[in-house]
Amino acid sequence: MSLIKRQTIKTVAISTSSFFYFSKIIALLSLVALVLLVVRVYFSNQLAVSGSRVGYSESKLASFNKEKFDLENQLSQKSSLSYIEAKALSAGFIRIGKVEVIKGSGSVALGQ
Amino acid sequence: MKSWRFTFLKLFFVFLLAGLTARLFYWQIVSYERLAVAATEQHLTTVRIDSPRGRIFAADGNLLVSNQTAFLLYASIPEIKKDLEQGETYEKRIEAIVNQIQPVLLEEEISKLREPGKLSRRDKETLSANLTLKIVSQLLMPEVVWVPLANKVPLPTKEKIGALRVKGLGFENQSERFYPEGTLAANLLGFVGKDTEGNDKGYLGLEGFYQDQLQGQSGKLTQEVDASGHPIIAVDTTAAVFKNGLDIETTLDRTVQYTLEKYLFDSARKYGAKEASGIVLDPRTGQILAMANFPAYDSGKWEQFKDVERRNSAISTIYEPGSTFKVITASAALDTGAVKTDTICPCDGPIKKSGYEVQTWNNKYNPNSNMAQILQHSDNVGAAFWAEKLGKTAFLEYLKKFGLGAKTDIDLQGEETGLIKKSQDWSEIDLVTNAFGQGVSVTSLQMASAVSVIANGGKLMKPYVVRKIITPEREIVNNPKEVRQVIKPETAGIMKELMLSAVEQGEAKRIIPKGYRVGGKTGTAQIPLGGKYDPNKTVASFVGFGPIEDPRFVMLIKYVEPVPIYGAETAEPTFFKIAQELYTYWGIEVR
Repeated sequence: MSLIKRQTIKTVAISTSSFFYFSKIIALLSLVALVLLVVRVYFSNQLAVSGSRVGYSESKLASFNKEKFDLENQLSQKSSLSYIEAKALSAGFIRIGKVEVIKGSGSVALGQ
Repeated sequence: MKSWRFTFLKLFFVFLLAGLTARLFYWQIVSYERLAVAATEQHLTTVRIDSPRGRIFAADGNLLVSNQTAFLLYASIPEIKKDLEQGETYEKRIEAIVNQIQPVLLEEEISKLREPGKLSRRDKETLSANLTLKIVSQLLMPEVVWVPLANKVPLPTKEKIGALRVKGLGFENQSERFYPEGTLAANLLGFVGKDTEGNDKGYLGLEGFYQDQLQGQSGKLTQEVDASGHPIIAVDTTAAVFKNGLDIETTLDRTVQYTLEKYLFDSARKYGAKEASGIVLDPRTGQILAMANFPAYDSGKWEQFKDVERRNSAISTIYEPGSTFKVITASAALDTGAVKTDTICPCDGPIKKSGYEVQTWNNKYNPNSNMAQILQHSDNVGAAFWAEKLGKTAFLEYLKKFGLGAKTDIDLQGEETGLIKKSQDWSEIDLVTNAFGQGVSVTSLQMASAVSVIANGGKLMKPYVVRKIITPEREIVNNPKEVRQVIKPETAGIMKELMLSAVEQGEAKRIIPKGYRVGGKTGTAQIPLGGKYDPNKTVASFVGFGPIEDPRFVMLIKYVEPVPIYGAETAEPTFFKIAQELYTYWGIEVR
């Protein structure tokens, strides 16, 4: 009888000790899972914010590119020869009638 | 009691499981395709990446052709229908939409016309009715959800339509060609129209020749997005292949082009010429510095012009060169040794060949003329004398060596070959008439290129317009290419002096500005009509180069049907007006 009791006590003791052992592991794993979950939530949040930033940057880039393109076009239009000629004429410049070629290396009076 | 509750619980779970299975079956099997598409649409976004057409630059780096944003106006039929008020029909709503947008689009369409101010009231009404019909028929198309209403709408028009706040209408970005220099070099640049599938495509000139390089390839970028539509950067994106059109840099000098056009167009109007063309090229490299045609057209309004107005007649129209061709005959005869500068031509009267009589242009004769005198008097009999000394075989061989009767292979779309009769088709008269440019046809470019041989020490250079293609990785440079040595350098030297004397002692010597040492030759060719030559309709031209010591440019000026009819009175004065400007521009010393 006492032998049976002793064996029972021993079995219960072993079961109890393994139960505590597994529950410790489960608790530890749960903790790890919880930490990972928090990390995941944190990084997902960060990525979502970054995505928003990327979207904003992309739209800004497109807008700057368009502005650059428009400015280049404006610049080329304002530096076109027909535009410059029209501006020069309106500013009072006149087309030269005859080209005078001054020869020789000496000083030349310009009729001033 | 206990057993009943247990059975109920079991049945509950069985039905629950059956319900879930049925629902999953519905989602996974029955509605799979629809839901998969919906899911993809929800978490993936596709962005169209437009690849703009390559730009075209002048030699100084200034833009000749660029792109600007335009808009495609479209209608979404479901959105229009969704917005219908109670009792309102779709047709009634269309009528309202047309009444709102049609006047704005009509105004835009009229502004694009070649001469909007000259539009009659009746034409305007027709235009308006056609536009209304077009919009209505698009909106009434059966079984469509999206219809384009107007292409390439400019920003101001887009803003006007946007301000109307019409439900169901929207805009998509498009790109259209932009010409900062207006109509400058339009015939050389070509234009961008549509291909059979409605895509942009370049036609004629540079746009046509470099279509493959200039055209970009649009693509799509697919990326995963979050609930707010922002891209999720941790997930890979997939991009369909796309590439921007390549930019090209030309050899065109804006100032030379502008000067050429200014004087050529003004003079063509003054002489009442039907057509005119002009070319300025660098004989040392073959680079085209300027090329112009009259009447000019506007590449941005290309639909408003006829095919004949859009072509580059400097390379696409052939003509009989007349007396300018004598310099080719003279070069060949000198190079072979058939004649020398002091060889005397009897030249005392008309010559008869195969029943035809060959006369001088004014029926005056200059007996015992040497080469210089024959060129100065532009003597047809003298040129025939050289050709007969040279012989048919050698003459034909030299024409080929000068690049006549064959394309120059310039990098422009639409080049013609010219017309030189085959050896076996030649009669006795052909040798004589070809000697002074009759019965032979060339393009203006061929003629300018042939004369550049004389200006460049006897070497023929391949003419070209694009000197650089700019890819993202590198620049592909188009270097000058020597085609062949056509005549000996000594022959070229003698010809330069002969052409200088032809200018200084020629028919138009009074108009030559002092100190401008330019070699050249006039040409006045009657226009063949129905097998005969019309004496009052001519092609008047002048081809020359300067400065004579080290030619920097070769220029050809040509008028079709000018009044007066002679090259010496029309093309030559224009040549010298432009040459004076070029001398000043390049700082060439006047002696």
